[in-house]
Amino acid sequence: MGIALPPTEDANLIRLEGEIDIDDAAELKERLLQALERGGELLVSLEDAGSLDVTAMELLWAAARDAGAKGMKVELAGPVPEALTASFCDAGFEAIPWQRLTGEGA
Amino acid sequence: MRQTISIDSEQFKQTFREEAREILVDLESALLELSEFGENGELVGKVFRALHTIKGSGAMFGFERLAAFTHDLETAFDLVRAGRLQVNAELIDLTLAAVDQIRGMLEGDATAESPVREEILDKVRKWAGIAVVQEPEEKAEVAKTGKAAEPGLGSEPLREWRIHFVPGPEFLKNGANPLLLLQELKHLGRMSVRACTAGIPSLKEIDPERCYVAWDAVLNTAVSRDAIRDVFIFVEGSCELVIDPAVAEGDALSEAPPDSEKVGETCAGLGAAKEANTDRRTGPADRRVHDHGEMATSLRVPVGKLDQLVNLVGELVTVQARLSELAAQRDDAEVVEVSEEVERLTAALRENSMNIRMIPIRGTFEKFRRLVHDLARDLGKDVELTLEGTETELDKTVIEQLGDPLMHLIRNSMDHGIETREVRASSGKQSPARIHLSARHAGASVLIGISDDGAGIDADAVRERAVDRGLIGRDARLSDAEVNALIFQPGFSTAKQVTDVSGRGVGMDVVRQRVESLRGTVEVSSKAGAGTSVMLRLPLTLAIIDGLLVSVGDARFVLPLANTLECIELTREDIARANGKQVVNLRGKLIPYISLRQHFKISGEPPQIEQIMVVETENGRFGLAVDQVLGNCQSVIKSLGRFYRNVQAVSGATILGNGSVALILDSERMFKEVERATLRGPRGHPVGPAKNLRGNPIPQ
Repeated sequence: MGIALPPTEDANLIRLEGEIDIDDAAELKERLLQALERGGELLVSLEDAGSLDVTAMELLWAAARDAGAKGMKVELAGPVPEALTASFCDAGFEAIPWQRLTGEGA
Repeated sequence: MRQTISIDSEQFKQTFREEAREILVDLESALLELSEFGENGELVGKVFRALHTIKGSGAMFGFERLAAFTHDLETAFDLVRAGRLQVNAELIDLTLAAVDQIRGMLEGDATAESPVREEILDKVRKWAGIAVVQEPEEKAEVAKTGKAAEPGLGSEPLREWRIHFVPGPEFLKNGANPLLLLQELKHLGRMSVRACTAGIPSLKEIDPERCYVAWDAVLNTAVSRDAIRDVFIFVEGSCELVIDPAVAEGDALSEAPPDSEKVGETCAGLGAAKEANTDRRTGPADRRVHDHGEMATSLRVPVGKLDQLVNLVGELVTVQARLSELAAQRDDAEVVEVSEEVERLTAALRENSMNIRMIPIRGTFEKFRRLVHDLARDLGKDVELTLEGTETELDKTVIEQLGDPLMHLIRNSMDHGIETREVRASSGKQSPARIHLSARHAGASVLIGISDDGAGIDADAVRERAVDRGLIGRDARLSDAEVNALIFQPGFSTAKQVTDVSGRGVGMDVVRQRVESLRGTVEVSSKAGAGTSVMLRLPLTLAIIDGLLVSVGDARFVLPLANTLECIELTREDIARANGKQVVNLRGKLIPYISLRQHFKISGEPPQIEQIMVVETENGRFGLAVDQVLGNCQSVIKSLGRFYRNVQAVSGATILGNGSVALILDSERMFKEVERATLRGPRGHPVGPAKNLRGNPIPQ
């Protein structure tokens, strides 16, 4: 697993890699909080994520909701693996949070 | 943080190992009952659920190979459960062998391949007609989800179920994974599911390791409510679960086919309701009762923490005794009141702490079903093990140390006591032979009995062997009990040949040593041709007891309160009337007594009026003469060490409030010791006709 945060000039990019589970939850929360505090555009890449457990789903969901409430621009960077979309679907989430929120214009 | 997580992960695995060991005991027991009583739906269900739990939780905690190994066995019992196959001796033996393998995997390397396991699985598959080769993907899925497609799912009528699942706050921290459970549910039929996200707090407030999501699902399936509940079997104690038929009267979904929107509405409503609660698991009382059926009522606590608690309570009891002593010296009403209150609370705390350590003996007894089953097969004997008093509770430490002595006794009984089928048939004895294990409370002790209806002890052979070994003289007069007691001598065996099971004369010696190290006693009675009975008397606890503090001169003694009945006065006139005998009149009945002053050779004159503490033993009542009764005391038992190990009348010592030491008396053993001394001369040889303390002749 891995959570990479290469800052760019005008965007925060959080890249999730490999299997993200409860062991990574505290770190993921911290990274998301930092990104929200910075403001501006937030990018999350799930392209290289193998799987997400429910803690990661909750954190992404909360971050997406909080970002939307702050009027931040949030985007998924790159494609989402099919397995991951299926995983969100199996878990009963309507969609991956960013997709839904950005889709709704939040 | 990484390190903490890896420790936690190992803790989850350890928890799984502990739980799996307990499940295996139940599984083994159910298999042996099936073997004994034949096809029984309840037992088959029990076996299935045990295998299912081991498989499911094994996969969840990273024991994938163990989960995969259990899968085909579970399938076989599912087929039996569905009435498609009938359980027989072959399946039971294979499953018992598999249980051994699972134990091995739990203790050792669970990832290593084993030809023995493969052989077992091949036989199980052949027996159940399960496809031998699984696709790698399917196998991986089984290991991952802990579930394969239910056999015959399509042929049964479908039913619609609404499932509401709310993981508890510690759910994820305990290593459980709700997504795997949802996947497993999905394998049961057609399912739509909706996550209820209303409970997820803001990112800032979120506890990243807690599950805030709840789920509502509608499942169309042919399986029963129990089968759906089985999916949650190993997380039942840590979640809220509702499984309702969707066709119930007044059900919002009963009129409409399941769809995600409808499910979502229900979910949103529940989620909103939950938001008002700080503890999301605290729903309306009626719902919880309806949901769970069985609430989480137990908590797994490391043994070390319990030991620490009892040690601390022991220290507290000692300090409280000191406080009581000081309060009595100060003669200050307020201090005395506080001291009494502390004493009351300490006693309650002590009782509660000790109760936490008490566990039923069932687990220990049940383990012997397998031992008897295997030994009976190996020895070619028909033996039935019956159990009684399995819910009798004992201190955990006592139970832990009881396993070996009981095993030795049962092995001995199976090997030497129980006759072969042919011998039993020729002597007109019923088959199968019977070994009976029993447990019951008796005052502050627990009596554990092991009896069989075998050949009994050959008293002549025992006597002969004892003479040969120089344990007794050729002309020694021994009671039956004393002859029987010889079998507990080190290295004593009358077996004509050493077998794998017993015959080295080690077991019975170990039994006696282990039982005595627990401050217990062991007695044997036997009747030639009718069987042998061994009775172990063990203390309920090894840590703290309620006692009565008494004094003789400057010495202090503690008598366990549990077998002390009453206190009566002993005057000089009473002594004179007894005509030199140590007996006292208790409401018209004479009972013998022992003077502690004489017994312990304490100098000084006794007071004009002594006190007789009347105690109850298994041989009846008798008295202990002391100078004064000082009052109740909670006594933390301290071991006296090896130097005192042969002092039968003393079971330990305790520290009093003033810092001095009082000996804790074992009245049962003291009585026997005095009785033995009365029967023998100064060199240990019997004198005159043998009589007990009551003056009655002892039958020879």
